[in-house]
Amino acid sequence: MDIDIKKIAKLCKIKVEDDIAQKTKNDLIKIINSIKDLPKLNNNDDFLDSSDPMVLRKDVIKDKQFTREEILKNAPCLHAGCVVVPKEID
Amino acid sequence: MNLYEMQASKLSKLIKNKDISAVQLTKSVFSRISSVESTIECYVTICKESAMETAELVDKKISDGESLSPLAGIPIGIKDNICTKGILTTCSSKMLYNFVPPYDATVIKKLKDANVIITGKLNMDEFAMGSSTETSYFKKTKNPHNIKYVPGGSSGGSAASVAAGEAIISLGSDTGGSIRQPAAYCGVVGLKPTYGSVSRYGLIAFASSLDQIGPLAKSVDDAALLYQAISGYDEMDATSKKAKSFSWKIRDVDLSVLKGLKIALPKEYFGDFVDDKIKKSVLDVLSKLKDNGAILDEVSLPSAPYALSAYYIISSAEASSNLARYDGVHYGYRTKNYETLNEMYENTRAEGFGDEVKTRIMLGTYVLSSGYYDAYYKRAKLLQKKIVAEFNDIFQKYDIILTPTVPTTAFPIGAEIEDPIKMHFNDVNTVSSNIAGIPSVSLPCGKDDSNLPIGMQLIGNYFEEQKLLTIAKCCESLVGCLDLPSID
Repeated sequence: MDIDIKKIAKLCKIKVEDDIAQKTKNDLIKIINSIKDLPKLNNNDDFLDSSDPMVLRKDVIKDKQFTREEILKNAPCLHAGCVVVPKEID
Repeated sequence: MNLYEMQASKLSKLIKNKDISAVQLTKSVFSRISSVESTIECYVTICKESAMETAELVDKKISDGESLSPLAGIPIGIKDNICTKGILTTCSSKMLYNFVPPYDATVIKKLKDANVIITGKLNMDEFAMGSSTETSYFKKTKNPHNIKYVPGGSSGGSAASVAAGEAIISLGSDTGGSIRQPAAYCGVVGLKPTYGSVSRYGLIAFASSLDQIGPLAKSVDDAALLYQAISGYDEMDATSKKAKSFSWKIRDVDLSVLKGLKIALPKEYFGDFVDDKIKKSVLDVLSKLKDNGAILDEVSLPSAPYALSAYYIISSAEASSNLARYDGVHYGYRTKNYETLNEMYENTRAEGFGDEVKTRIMLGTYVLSSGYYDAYYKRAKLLQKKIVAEFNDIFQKYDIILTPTVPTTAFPIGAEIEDPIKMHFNDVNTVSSNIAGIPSVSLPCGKDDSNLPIGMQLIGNYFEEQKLLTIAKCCESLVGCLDLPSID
């Protein structure tokens, strides 16, 4: 079997350098080969259990639980209370 | 006997009766940590100062006559993927090397309300992906029974801390066996509860439909007390279930429970891949159970041979989604090598994650990608339904399922880290419980010729932890708890 390691890396946003791409690809192929032989079941069946749905809580704002400072305390780069990242939009 | 060697259930009585103080007990545990932690290396963060402050507060409450929970004053270690407000929570990853949560997980809130003493944060496989605690970014935890061997994983620090006396009890998490397997390797009790019985709010997610927080302890009583403290419905977790609350009383063991008990033994869990010494230990327990009136039957779980593959597909798919949030933007590690936003994402994730985590993210991405979704992810989810149905069939006729926890005892450090297929196979007997969402407990049932602990696994039906742990306590009384090993 063959896989497009560069495509997978791009989809999951993990840089895979050229010098390790082949090893990464081989390791992944070994694992895929070990898990690929699942029995064929009726693919028209739905695997979701409609009798047991998740109950989502109402989207209601509670009293302020955190200050801006508390929430941003772990941010790598801050300026004027905002997280700084490279410019993406002109 | 030193205080750190004793069980929580006994220490609780001593504290309540003021025979010892919480401060004395906490000092005993931290003295033990000072002696052996440099050898065992089970902690990422040690919280001695805050632990001693809490112990003093607990002693004051007791002397004021307050009625406290059974775990009041008991030192507990917390796996480092459970958010603790103000305390570093790293998932043993470079990606979260400096992350300090602004909130407590629900289980931590419950434990603080119960007046436990949090000793620190325990080492683990990175983002809970692994079976040996060797993928931790920070350190390799050792098995207290033989420091050249792994403690298991991913809750290796949690299991080792209890086995070494560096915590009286601990919290771990289990997605495919990560409480039970290290419990088996380290000779302690480890419970993976029913999915939905313990809140996942504040548990840093690996595979959200499989993850559960659970206790590791020296005895079934201790594990049950901790499960009692952390279980219950939580509106902050959309997968949390409303069920009858669990209540555990410390009583003498009642072996009459075993009379007429129907125990299923799925043959797929006792295959040639299980070491002979492990099979013998488990068969010895079965013989004792039979002598006490239990009825043993061989059964079949036909989908069991595919469970490991289904687990790796489902867990990796969910992990690829859950770990997409680690991008260097709001928290955690950020690369210095970038000019564009995309470079920042890609290089942060390449540098911040270890190899096992990156492999599983890529595997998850692959099985969810266009052209492969039906062949892998959908097929695995359909198989999951089949596994659930097969367990339901067994529980129509049987009270409990009994298996070896793991095919082997602990392996030497470094022996399997380069072979992911071999490493994954450690989970072969544990993953089915996660796939089905049913509760399972591992307890020690002997040692092999190298003096390494052997674990047996009991699997129960949904929300039947009371029955499961009652039977586990009977088994424990027939085989005994393991003593703490001496550590050089």
